[in-house]
Amino acid sequence: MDKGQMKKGVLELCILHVTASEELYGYEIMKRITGAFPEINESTVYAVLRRLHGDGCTESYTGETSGGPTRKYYRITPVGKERLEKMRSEWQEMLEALKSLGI
Amino acid sequence: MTKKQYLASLRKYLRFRLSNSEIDDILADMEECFEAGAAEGKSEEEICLSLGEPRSAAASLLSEQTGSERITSLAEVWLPLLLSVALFAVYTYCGFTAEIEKHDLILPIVCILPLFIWILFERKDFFTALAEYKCDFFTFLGSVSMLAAGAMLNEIPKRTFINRYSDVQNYAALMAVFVSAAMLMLAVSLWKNAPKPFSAAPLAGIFFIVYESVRFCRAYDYWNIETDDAYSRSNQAAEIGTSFHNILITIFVCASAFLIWSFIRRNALTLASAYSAMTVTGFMFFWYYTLSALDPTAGDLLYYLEFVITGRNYLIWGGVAAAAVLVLTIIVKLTKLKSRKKVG
Repeated sequence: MDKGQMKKGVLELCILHVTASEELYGYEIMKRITGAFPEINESTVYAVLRRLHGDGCTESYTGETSGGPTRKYYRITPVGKERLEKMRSEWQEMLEALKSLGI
Repeated sequence: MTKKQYLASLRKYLRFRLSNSEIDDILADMEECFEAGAAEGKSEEEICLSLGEPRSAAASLLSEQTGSERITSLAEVWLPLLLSVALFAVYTYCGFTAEIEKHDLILPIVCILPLFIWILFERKDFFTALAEYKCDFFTFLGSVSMLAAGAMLNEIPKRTFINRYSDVQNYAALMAVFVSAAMLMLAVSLWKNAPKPFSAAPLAGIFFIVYESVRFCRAYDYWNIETDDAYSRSNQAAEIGTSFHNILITIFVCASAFLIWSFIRRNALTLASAYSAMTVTGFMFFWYYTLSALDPTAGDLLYYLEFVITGRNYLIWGGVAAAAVLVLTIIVKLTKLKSRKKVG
């Protein structure tokens, strides 16, 4: 697994987690992730979000913001939840493996 | 960079690889980001910065959507073109050695075959590919029809004035069919209104038609010159042919370099221009070779002369095409640089 691949995996996990905990519109998701990973561009987050959406992990609907125009909101689907759980346990395993080695 | 520039740039990088509907969808999402950012009081410049360079944005989108970061694919532009040119050359040679009528209707089929093969290799589902790439496909079909019409245009005056055959109306009808087909295909491709690499091909088709008419006129003039000194005329013709050949190679090599440069710079406009120059010179090059393959001493000397003496026309039209492409590119480059400076 190269660095890019690993990052993409983490991004995927983060996006799924964010959409699972709250229904947000695209720009908010991008901002939230780049807030945690400042070196990542918003467009990279968007690209991963778009792919997850294409895979059926999220679904979108048009909603209105509190005081303004309509936005495209994303929410997680059962397929997405399944993937999130799988990824979470995979990362947990990896963290434990690292811990066991004392890293 | 402004929002408009950012979106235009992103479209430019994506258009070779994604369908129009996908690109429109992405751009609509991006536009929403700009709106949301503006609502938070961010400037367009700041939003562009946080989104990241359009090129890297396109690369990550492409890598997620298609599994490859390649912004353009060499094979996508080259394979159908080169195969078509090669097949057209074979067709031309067969047309001169056998009865041309037998090959007239094979031409369009032969020329679109490589595109079919390309679509089948590139995309597994043919109909999805056809729907996604219909703009490219119809423009390509249109250009092939134009080429066929050009071939007919050459035949009509030759058969009327030189051979004095009575079947000229067949050629006129065929030409009308090809021209109407070309117009229809171009209308369909314009309906989607998206610039694509194949859009340069119809231009080549038009050049080819003009070239065919000029070629005929030159040959006809030469035919009418009365002289007994056929040997010296043949020498003169061969000389013109050789110098033409060298210059043509130069143009061809320059166009190739231009094309490679466009790929490296990922410049869609120069890519299209280079593609158009390559198409024009490529056709001339192959045409020239297939014609020179005929033994000059075996056949009618005037028949040979007609091919070689018109080398000048190949040169003129090749030069005009290359110059037009160059001037257009320079103009666009200069205007782009100007607008970039203003923004900076």
